[in-house]
Amino acid sequence: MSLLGKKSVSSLLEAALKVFWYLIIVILVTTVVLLFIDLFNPGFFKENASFSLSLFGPGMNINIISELIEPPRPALFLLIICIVLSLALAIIYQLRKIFATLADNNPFTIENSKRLRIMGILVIAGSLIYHLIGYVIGLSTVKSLATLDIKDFKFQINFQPDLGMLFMGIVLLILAEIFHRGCHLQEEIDLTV
Amino acid sequence: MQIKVNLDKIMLERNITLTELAQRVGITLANLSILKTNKAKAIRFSTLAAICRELQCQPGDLLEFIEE
Repeated sequence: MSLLGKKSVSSLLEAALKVFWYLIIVILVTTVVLLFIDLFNPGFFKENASFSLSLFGPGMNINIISELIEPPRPALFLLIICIVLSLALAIIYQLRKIFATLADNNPFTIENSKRLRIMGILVIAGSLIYHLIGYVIGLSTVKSLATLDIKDFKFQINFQPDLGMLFMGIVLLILAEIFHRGCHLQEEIDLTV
Repeated sequence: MQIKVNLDKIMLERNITLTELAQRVGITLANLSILKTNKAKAIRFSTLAAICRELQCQPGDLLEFIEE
């Protein structure tokens, strides 16, 4: 099976991305509905809700559960899911367009280099937004923990962006630039008689 | 400034069609059309030589420098 053209790996991936695209739209719409339910009916998801904090490590998973601390609003988590899904939709949209050009055997276009650049920016911005919201939730959690009367315990939080995702975004931006130059070379070749 | 290709003028003088010239020169009709419509960014010496050979002309007859 060839990599480019009709009935190739590219066209198969394009079809798979189409399925993903619609699946994510369905999940996003459901999440938005749940978000609005929580915003306009704050007690809806609160039954049996308790504060829970998990600590992960090699071979262990420590859960700290407390009935004294107010758990964060589900709306916050639903908002994070909405943002992540929206970013995923935007990235998949660009990928679908790129794979469509691969299926048409015409990948070296300026539009594709722009799409790669948009994907790079989305990955960097998305990663920063995702971790900033996580940090804000962490701040409120630490604030809640500080209200507990636990002696000799100090709760701290540090902002820790995902360097891997930032690196991936930068790599995409560099690839977009290389692709952009490749497109110009392709144009030169196409218009050389 | 740009280079203008006077291919259509010489073809008219020699009474030769684009399809016929493409066949005789050995390039595609699409490529010759790019050259004729001044969309080409470059021309190979081999192509230029073949066109000059078939049209019995000099490169200077085909190409014209225009100052804008």
